[in-house]
This record gives sequence, C-alpha cells and structure tokens, in this order.
Amino acid sequence: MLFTGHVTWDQFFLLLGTGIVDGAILAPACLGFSLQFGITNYVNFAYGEAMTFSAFMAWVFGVEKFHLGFVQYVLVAGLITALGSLLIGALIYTPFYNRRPQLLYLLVLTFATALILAALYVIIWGEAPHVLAYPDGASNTHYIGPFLVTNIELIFIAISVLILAGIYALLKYTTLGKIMRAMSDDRSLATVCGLPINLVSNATWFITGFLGGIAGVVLGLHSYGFDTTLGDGFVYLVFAAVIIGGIGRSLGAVVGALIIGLVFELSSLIVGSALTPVAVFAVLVLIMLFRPEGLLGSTGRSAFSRA
Amino acid sequence: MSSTPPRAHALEVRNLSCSFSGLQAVRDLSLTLEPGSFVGLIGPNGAGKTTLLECISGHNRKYAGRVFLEGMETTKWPPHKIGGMGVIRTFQVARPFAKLTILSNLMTGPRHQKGEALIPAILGNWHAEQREHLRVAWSWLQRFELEAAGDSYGGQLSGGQERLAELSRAMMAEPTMLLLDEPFAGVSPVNRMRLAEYLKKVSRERSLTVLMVEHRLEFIERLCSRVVVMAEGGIIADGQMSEVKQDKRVLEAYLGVV
Amino acid sequence: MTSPTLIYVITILILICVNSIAALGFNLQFAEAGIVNLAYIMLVAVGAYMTGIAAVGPPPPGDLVTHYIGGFQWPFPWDLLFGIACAVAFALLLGLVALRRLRHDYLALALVSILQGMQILVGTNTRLFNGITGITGVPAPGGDLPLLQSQLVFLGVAVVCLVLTYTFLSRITRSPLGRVLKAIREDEEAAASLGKYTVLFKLTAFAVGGGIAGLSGGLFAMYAGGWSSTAWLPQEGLILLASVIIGGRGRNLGVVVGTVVTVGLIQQLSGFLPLPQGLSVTILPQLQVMLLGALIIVFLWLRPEGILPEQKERFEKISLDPVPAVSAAVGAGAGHPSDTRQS
Repeated sequence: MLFTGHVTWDQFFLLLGTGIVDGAILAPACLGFSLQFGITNYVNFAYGEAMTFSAFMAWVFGVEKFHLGFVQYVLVAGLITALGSLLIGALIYTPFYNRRPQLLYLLVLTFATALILAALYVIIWGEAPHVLAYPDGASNTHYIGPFLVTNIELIFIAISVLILAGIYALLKYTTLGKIMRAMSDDRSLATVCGLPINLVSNATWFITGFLGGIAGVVLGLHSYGFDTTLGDGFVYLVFAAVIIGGIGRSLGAVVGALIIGLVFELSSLIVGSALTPVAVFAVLVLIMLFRPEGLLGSTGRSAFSRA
Repeated sequence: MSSTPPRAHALEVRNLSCSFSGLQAVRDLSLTLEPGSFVGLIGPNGAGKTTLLECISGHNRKYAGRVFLEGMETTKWPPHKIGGMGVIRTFQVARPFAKLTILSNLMTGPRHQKGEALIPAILGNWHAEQREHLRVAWSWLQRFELEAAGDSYGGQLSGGQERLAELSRAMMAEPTMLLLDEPFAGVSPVNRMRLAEYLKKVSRERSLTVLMVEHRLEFIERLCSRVVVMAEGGIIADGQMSEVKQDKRVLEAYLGVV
Repeated sequence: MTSPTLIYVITILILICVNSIAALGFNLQFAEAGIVNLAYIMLVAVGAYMTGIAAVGPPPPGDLVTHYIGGFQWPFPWDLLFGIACAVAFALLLGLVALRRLRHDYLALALVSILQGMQILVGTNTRLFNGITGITGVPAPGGDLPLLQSQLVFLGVAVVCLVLTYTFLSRITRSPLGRVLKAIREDEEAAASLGKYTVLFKLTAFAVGGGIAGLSGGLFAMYAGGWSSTAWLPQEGLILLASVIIGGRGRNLGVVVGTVVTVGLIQQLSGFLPLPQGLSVTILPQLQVMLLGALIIVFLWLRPEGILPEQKERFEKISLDPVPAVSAAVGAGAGHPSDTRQS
C-alpha cells in the first residue's frame, strides 16, 4: 500500500484525477496572472475579482436574464470580463505606470482596486450563494483508465487545453505575441526599440482578462454555488502556483498550477482535507527557501534584480 | 586551509567564469592585486569588466571559480559580507539613496554603527559615535563642495554630484579596497580633476587597494600603476600603461575601436 | 454632553488610538523598511487570537461546539504581553522564510497568498481558534466597572499604549537603524554594498512591526470582547494602508493624522450621511471600503507623499576648520577625512 490507514487505490486515483482537474482549472488563471506580471509589471491582486466578476456575468447571462446556452454564456462572460480588465488597465493601471511611480505603489494600487471591486460586488449581488446553469448530463460519470470523472470535469479539462494551446499559438506565432514576449524579457529594451508598449499592455489586459474570465466561470461551475468571495478563496492558490512555477514564466505558471492542484488534493490523504492549505504553504515555503525564483524561473540574479 | 594563498594579495581571482542570458561575460579569468596598488581595468564595451567587479563584490554570485580577498576565500559571499570587510564598490550608474538627503546618504556609510542595532537605537546611546561620523561627513561634503547640497535629496543631484556623493559614502565606510565602476563618467571637467587628485591622494595615504573600471585613458594613465586590459571576458594585456599601449592585441581589440 | 454621546466620542477615540498603533507598525514595515506587507492584518490577528486565548478560560465542560487552544485565564497585562510575544515570534518565522531571498513583489504576493490561506485554515477549516465563531468573552481591563468608567479606563490604556508605541518608533526612525532601513527601502543592493546585512535589518523591522501589530490586535480583541475570522479579512487591512498612504508614509505623526481621517471621518462620520435612495444601511461597510480604496488611489495619483510628507533627517551643522577644496589641496596633505577617522 502506498499510504498507511484505510486509503485505497480507488481513493488515490480519485484524488489524483481531481488534482489534475484542479490543475486544469488553475492553469488558465495562473497563465493570465503570470502574463500580466511579465508584460505590465503589475502584480494584480485584483485578479481574483476578475474571476468573481466573470462567474457572476455567467450567472446573469445564463440564469438570471438571457438564458444563453452553455458555450454562449461562457464566451460572453469571458469577453465582458476581458473588456472590464481592459477598461481598468487602460484607464488606471497603464497611465499610472507611465507616471513612473515607485514600484511598491503598483502593488498598493492593485490591492486597493481589488478591495473596491469586492465591495462593489457585495453591493450588487449580496452575500447569498448563486448557482450557474449546467449543461445536460454534466454530472454523469465515466471511467477513463483508473480515473472516475464527470462530464463537466472533462469539459473543464477541454477548455483548459484549448486556452493553453491558444495562448501558446499567440505567443509563438503572432506579432503581438512576439512583442509580448519581448516586453516580458526586457521592458526597457522593448521601449527603446520603439515597440508599441501601451498598445501591447492594453492588449495584455484584454487577453489576460479573458483568461481570468474563463477561469472564473469554470471555477463557478466547479464550486456548485458561489458568492462574491469566489475569487478570493481561489486566487491564493493562483499566487502560490505562480510563485512555485516562476513568476512571469508562462510554462512555469502551468507547471505550478498542476503541482498545486495535485498537492491540494493528494495532501488530504495525509493531513486531512481541513489542512490542505497547510500543504500548499509547505510547498510554497520550500520554494521560497530553496528556489525563490521558482521552478522554471530565470537563473539570473534573483535577490536584487529590479522589476 | 591548503588553498589559502599567501597573505600578500589584496585580491586574488582564480579561474573565474560567469555567464548570463546565454552570454559568456567572463571566461576563465585569473588576476591578483597587491595591497595598495591602484589598478585600472579597461577594455571595449561588453568585455566583462563590470561583471568581474560584480563577481568580486558579491552582487553577482552565479559564477564558477574562486575569489580571495586579503587572503580569505570570499567565493560566492553575499555583498554585505564583502562590504562588511571593507571592500566597497561603487556603481556604473551612481546610486545614491534617492529619498535620503546627501548627508544622510553619507551617514549610512560607516560600517557597524552602534545605533544600527535595535536595543542601542531604542536606548539612544549612539549619539556620541554619530557626532564623530558627522564630522567626517561634513568634511567630505566640504572637500567636494557639496555642503550646500547636504540637505537636498539624493535624487536631486546632478550626475557628477551623484558620483561624488556615492564616492564619499563609500569612503565613509573606511574601505580597505575600492571597486570603482567608471567613477569619472558624468562628472564635470573641474570635478573630474579634483576627483582624480583626490583618489590619488587618499589611496596613497591609506594604502587603499583600488580596482577601477574606466574608459578615459587619461585618468588611467594618471592614477594607475598597472593596467589590466579585458576583451571578450578574458585578460589580453596586463602591465604599465606604456607597455600596454604598445601591445598589438590591445590595439586591435580596444584602442583601434576607440 | 449626554452620556450616550460621550460614550460614542470615547469609542471613536479608542478606535483611533488602537488603529493608530496598528497603522504605525504597518508604517515601520511598509514605509521605513519598504516591505510591502499587505498581509499585515494577519499579524494583528495573531496578537488578537493569542491575547484572547490567554485571557479567557477553557471552554465549559459539556460544550461540544466550542473548541480552541489555550484558555489560560491570565490577567491583564499578561494576556496582552503574551499576544505581543506570539506576534513577534510569528513575524520572525514568517520573515525568516520570506525576507531572505524574495524580491519585493514576490514577497508581497507570497504574503497575501499566506493571508488568504490562513483565513481559510483558521476561519473555516480548523478549530484552533473556534473556527468561524472565533474567541468570545475576552475581558478588558476595567470591564467590570459601569459602562462610562470602563470605557474611560480602556481609553486610558489605549492612549498609554499609543504614546509608548509612538515614542518607541520615533526612537527607531531617528536612529542609524531607521536610516539604514530607509536606505534599504531606496536601494537594497547599494545598502548591501556598504556592508549592511539587509536581511537582518528587514527582519528587525518586520518583527518589531509584528509586535506592534500584536499589541493593536490584543487591544482590539479586548475592546470588542472577542475576535473572529471576519475581523481580519483583507479589507480590514485596507484601513491601515489608507491611514499610512493618506496621512504620510514614513512619518509617524502623519500616520496618526491619517488614522484620524480614516477612522474618524470615513468609518464613523460617514454613518451619519444620508444614503442614496434605494440603498440599505447594510451596504455601508462596503461603501466605506470603496471610499477608502478610492482615496488610496487618488492619493497615489495626486499626492503619494501624503498629507504630512516624510521629513528629512536633521543634523547639527558642524563647523570645520576651513579645508581647501581638493583642487587646491593637492600635495598639501591636510586631508580632513583621514585626520578624523575614528576606527
């Protein structure tokens, strides 16, 4: 037996499968967050709020008002969140950055924005739980190999893979993606080269807003009933995953997401489900102590290099 | 330790290699400096001069090879330990603390101040020592005619004043060795002469060891008893300026370019 | 003045004192040492919980719902001191992990991540501190006196704590320690090159700030009679951040002024304003959070130095013997710096 006590292989595979699903849900969010940091230099504490917003948009369009179909409301919520992200980015974040404030004020700005948005959501949607509309047969289960999964979990994984592939293609093959990577590598050099910094920053806010938006809807579906704290309860896993993978690294974000997903689920076998945050911290602490630049972070100067 | 070199060397670098972003900045470089020597480090842009300085000062610790300072192995020591033993560097672009006044900048210089620990800071029994430091600080300001700027913020100075303030701050630390990265860049011609004379005088008086990266050969010629020429991460010539000037490889790699 | 009004005024003064203490500790970490600890409220919570479990007794026998560690029934001020000590220990531990090698933005991220995780761990997942209900029945000094007197006693305690904290911090910020902290905030690499062990300095500021957070937390718990997970949500930390940004970061007096603005004007007096039609009173806390957040952004944009900006360090002017400037002194050998070296 792998574990002491009464853990069976069935349970193990169940949790392993759930961990992979968790990782798949986390991955687009982590990728979006990581891209934001890499390209705009903002550590966006309001990212959880973008996810919450999107879940509520999905509720508005799927349940409350328009009764759109599954695919439609996922896309509509994602797009509206992307627009919201663009709006805040273009009106507040980018102009503020261009005033060349001390870097720690960037952190304060997004933190304040996050709390403003969170308060606004409570005013609009209250504190009661909301439930999204599920496609037919969402909770039907299948065995895929040793894994017992539901249809909706397969959909989550499909969405995640689609998004990751899309972002990969964007970064690899389009001009926009190439400029994004150039800015991420060396912003000042990109500026000197006359690249359209502001335009690409705003495009980044839009794209990453879309990623966060899709992640938010998926998260809302995954949690079967959510309130305005949806994003907050989740985003700390995103932060942890991104630090573990290497902040600003696209692949690192995905790897970190998978690690956190697996740690989060599998650790419940050892420490019990109440203490899974402890397991996440343990991994985070190990990384902070021994590899502060993250698993896939750059091997350049880590302690002192400036953002 | 069998590896401890003779005490005589102020600095010994053995087979140092350093690369970042896939670029080999320093390759297998070895160098020794005698105590009290004033050594110039020249070479074309990208020769690895600043990287070498950063490896010695501990600001870059991703290197292979070994470094000894005053006979002690300091390989991969963090910068505060190297600064703490009196090996003080200045930066290629002067870095005064922007939101501290010039006088405050200088007052951060002295090493191991009494009032830097929590308990003495609370008890307040550091004032006598601070007065001593303050005297020295004022005299530095006077020397570089920065008295009037003493109360301005570090971020408000001209480029040349920044350099002088940074050097004064370094001198406040009572260094045994200075690692200077282009100390004359941006300094006005008048202050340049002053700075040169002063470096010459102070290094002699205190038998300071100085390793100075500089592009202006006139100052290298004036100050340095020895010149080390780097190109593509290695040393291509080492000796007196007059000898180095004749070296064919140097002319090709460096003087020809300039 | 009628008694309820008087008590209300005393309440506001107490809140201003305790919030000022918390904001001063945050200021030390954030503005002096440049550690962007947006999870500072977690240190406040450590002080509050630990003071609470030191002050109250164990859960009554037969009560299967209530569960928490501790329950020592220590009298004031030992419960408060215990809370402070625990907060310092927690800050040291956290600092040892996080401050050693992380860049400032990673650090902020890691700390907020830890705050969110701790919220879930302590607030919902475990019963270390009685889960979501938290610790109740924490006694306050003078709590068994009649209302007005007990409020006055607590105000006295709060004022004394504020004065002590303020004096303590002023001594730090005006010392060479404070100067090095500011230098690290400005340029850690340059400070290290001068031989300053920057990690140790930051750890000092982090632990001292943690202790002050613990003090404020203990006072909060005593004053409110308890502490639960809703008391340390990130938005509770926002008011401290706002106090520092609005009042003037890096200036202790400014922080107190900022707290008067945030607690006195926004948190308390805004309750008297008429609400827009169709909005219920229950959303008042949300409106206050939005107002605080908006003020932070406005100040960052228009006046990042705050109402009372950080002061320059004042030194006495020492008159030296006239020393000729360097150009003239060549060869003269009358070098003042070398004459006055102190080692």
